[in-house]
Amino acid sequence: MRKKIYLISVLVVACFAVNHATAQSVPTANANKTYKIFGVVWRGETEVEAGFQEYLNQRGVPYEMTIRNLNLSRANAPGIIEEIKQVKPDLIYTWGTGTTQSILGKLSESESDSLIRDIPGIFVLVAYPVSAEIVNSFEDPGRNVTGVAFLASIEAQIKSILAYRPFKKIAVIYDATSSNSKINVSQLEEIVPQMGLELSVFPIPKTADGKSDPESLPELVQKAKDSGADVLYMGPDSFITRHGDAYTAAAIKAELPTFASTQSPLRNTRAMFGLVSDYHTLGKLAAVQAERILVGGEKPEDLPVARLSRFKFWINIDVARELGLYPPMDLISIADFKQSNVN
Amino acid sequence: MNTESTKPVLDQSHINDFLTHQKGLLTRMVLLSVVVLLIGQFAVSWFALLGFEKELSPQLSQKAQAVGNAISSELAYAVGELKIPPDQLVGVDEYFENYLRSNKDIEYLAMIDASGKTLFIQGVEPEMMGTILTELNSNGLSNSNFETDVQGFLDGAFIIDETLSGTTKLHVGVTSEHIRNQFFEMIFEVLTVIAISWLVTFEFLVFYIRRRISRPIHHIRTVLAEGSRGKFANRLVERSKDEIGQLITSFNNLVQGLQIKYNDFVYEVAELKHAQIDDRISKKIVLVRDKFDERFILSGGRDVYSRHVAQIRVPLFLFIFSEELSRSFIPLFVSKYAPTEMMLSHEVLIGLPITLFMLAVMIVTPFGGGLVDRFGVRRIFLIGVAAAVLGFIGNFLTQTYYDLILFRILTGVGYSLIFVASEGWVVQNAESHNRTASTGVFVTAVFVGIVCGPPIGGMLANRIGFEATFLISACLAVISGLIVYQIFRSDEESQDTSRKRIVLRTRDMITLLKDPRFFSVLFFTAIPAKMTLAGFIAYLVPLYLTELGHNESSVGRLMMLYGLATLSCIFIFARYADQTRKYVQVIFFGGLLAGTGCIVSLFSHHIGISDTGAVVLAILTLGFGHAMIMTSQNAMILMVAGNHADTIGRATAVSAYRVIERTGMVIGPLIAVALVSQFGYHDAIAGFGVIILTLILMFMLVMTISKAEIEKDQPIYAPDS
Repeated sequence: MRKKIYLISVLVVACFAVNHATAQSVPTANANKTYKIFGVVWRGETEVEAGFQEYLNQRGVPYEMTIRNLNLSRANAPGIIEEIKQVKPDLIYTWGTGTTQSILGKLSESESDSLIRDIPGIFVLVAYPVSAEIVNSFEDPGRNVTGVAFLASIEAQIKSILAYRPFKKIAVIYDATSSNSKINVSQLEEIVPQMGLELSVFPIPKTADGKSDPESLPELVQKAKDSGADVLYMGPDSFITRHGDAYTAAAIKAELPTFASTQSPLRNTRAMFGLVSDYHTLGKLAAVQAERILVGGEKPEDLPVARLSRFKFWINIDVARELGLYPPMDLISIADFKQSNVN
Repeated sequence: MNTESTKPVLDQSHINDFLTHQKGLLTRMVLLSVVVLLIGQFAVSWFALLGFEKELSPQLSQKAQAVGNAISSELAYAVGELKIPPDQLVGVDEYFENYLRSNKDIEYLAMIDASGKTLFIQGVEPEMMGTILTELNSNGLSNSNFETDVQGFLDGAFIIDETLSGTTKLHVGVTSEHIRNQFFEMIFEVLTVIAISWLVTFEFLVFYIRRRISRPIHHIRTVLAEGSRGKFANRLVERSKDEIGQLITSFNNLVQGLQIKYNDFVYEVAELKHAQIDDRISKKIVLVRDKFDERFILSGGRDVYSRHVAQIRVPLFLFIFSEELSRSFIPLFVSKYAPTEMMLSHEVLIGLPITLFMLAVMIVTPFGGGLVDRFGVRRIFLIGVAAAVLGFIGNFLTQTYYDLILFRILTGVGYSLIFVASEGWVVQNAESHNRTASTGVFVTAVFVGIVCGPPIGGMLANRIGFEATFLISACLAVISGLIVYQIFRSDEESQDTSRKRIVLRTRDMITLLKDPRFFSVLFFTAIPAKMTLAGFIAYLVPLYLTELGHNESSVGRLMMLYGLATLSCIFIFARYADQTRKYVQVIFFGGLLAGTGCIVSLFSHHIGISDTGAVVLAILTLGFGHAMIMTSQNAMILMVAGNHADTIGRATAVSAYRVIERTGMVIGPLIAVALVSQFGYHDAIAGFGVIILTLILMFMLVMTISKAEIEKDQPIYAPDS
């Protein structure tokens, strides 16, 4: 029962948070001005941008939005920065840690021609904005950049794993070259044992050029299985996400369910379940921040990084069927499902 | 003026005759109204309840249907959409359990597959489910309408999955017990409201008839009886313009006319006498005049006011009612605001406001007597109402434990002023031949309030909350004040302005306490009675009953039993005691009954009495016991006071008694707190019993020793000074 109450309070779409935020800010629109928003994404447009624009349209905010794609490489940043300097937008929108760092830079970086420092920025899909040195803290960004956090707390994630089945041992396979992943793993190492679970961690071996080796994934999954783990954990790890198909296929082969903390592995690969934020809602929440900056005239440095208060429990029922791990009835009434014949 | 005419104009038989007559009129009118009221109320309630039963049953099945639909659609989603084989569903038992826990009226949930196999079940044993299913299948009445009564359950079946091989179904079972419980709760509430409206109607009718009809008629009869003996001197004062008022005006005109004629006659006779030269004729004229004066008294009359002890009844009742509204929940209300981090225990913190309220009453009351003598009943009553209303409003707006206490104390001050004002009225107007019955009038008003307050207050609190109920108390108190403002004109107050102010001197106190009757009535019966009232009824009962799972309505209803028990027999004992003068015996049996009733709780479990039953028994025996004790106690104290009337003054003696008696109310909650923290709620009841029994035995002992003294104190009442 407690479990269920907890889940209901944590899960399901985050519209509440958005509505709440909306109610607070009553901007006074400057009818004649059309705001220029410049968006930079990491690997193409997502639901987040759709939610972002939908909210601004609903609110009748006059804006023009340009979106450029880094296409998975920071090397494409300088060209885009050049364009931004010409366009002189009113707001910059960045998707992901890499994008944000390469366009807006880190806190500590001084004025630089290769970065945009003088235009307000909003980031989305940055797992650890403080550790990534994008902002000073959630409450006090410390610069003209703010954004939205998108991860559920580690506690909520572990509780969700336990709500599905009383799993005993969690294994996490991660990209040791990524700072996000390392932060994530250190958090897990602290919290998972406190919640009465075992944790085993498997950093992905590197190839000769120092990059993580995707070829090693099936082997690592089997190693995790052999270590006695009964569930795999996928953090905000872009390497694993990129190789999600191979990873989850190996997991299913090893009869291991995969829990995901971000939406992408659930949407695009065969992760079994996850506690994730809805991209569309995230975009709306970012738009609330944007509206406050553009129309309300507030400064990004005064706007704390916004958090969703509710998340979506997502289950891939096909994977669950394949693994013979059907979700418990209490979850069926609150979870969202992905299945082959629907969607 | 001739003095021969001072022979009694009204003898006892006249009064008795009048009283029976008055009683006849009152009784008939009240009975008639009440019977009509009752028939109407019962008829309306009956139809309402029939409707309720008709409404509730389908409502319940609607609710069960809603639950059945919700669960079956979720299961259908799992089976049909998510393609989970029914027998492989996970966590269904827990899922069912959660539903049963939040839907108390649903007895069981079961999932039966196409082959009739029970896959998951919660709420009944699988064997029982088997029997139910067999019976359902045999009569083919398996549907979702909850119409089929099987093995005491109303079963509803909902389709989860339909395949070629058959259907998987969810069975939902409800019992009719839930409907019945709700139905009884409703009946209780309706009956309570009927009983209370009956009492209130009775109060108001008696008040109105006494004031507007019986009392003026009594006065007309009295002066007419005087008239039949030739005395046409007294004028009746009546403000009302109704039929009775007109009658009185005509009567006054008659008296006035006669007096004018008499004065003319006297003048003419005097003139006639002066005109005579013959001394014999003059003497004869004087003789005739004197003879006339012997037969008729037409001058030197006074104004007779129509006032009566019972006038105080309605305003007093209304006020007591307003205060008693919070009786059933005061401890819970206090508990809500009691600070958690304190040196004192939670029990003490809850008991403290009750004790301080009583302390305020105790401290203010002695001054009250003097204030009433000085400023009059009306003014003191109104000041009391103002204080109490402020207190109620303060409690309505309560923010912290401390302002809660402050405003309770203010209400206590108001309460005691109103109490002494009313008591003063009774003392001023009581007739010596039925003093106990007069006191009864006063006590009745208080107890009707005690009966009506807690259940109505409980129902209100249950619906609008503790705080808002205080606002209603304030409104009622205001109405009570308005009535007093309207009907108690200062010119009608006792003309006895020479009354001594009550001053309680230590010397007098010692004299009184030396009187064994005074002492033992006070310490062995009066203080313990007040102590149980404040400690048991006001503190322990609401807390314990709440712990036993009763809501405010139910607590109020059970607390009402105390007042009801007292009220039902208080008149019988008052009359009995007045007629037989067996005060001591009545008090003794009252104490014995109350004490024993409480002690029963000690072994209630062994004789099959439930916890609630033990509380109810204690409440009832205390109610009956207190009725016996209170009436006789008052009479005894008035008697003792009468004996000291010359040295100390009756009012002073009574006042001394009241002051000391109220210490019982102050220590009551403290004793209850001590008993509860030592023995727990249940055995604390027995603790009260032990205290009562011990003291009543001591009372009897002292009385037996000083028995001779009682018997020589005849007559019981010293004549009014």
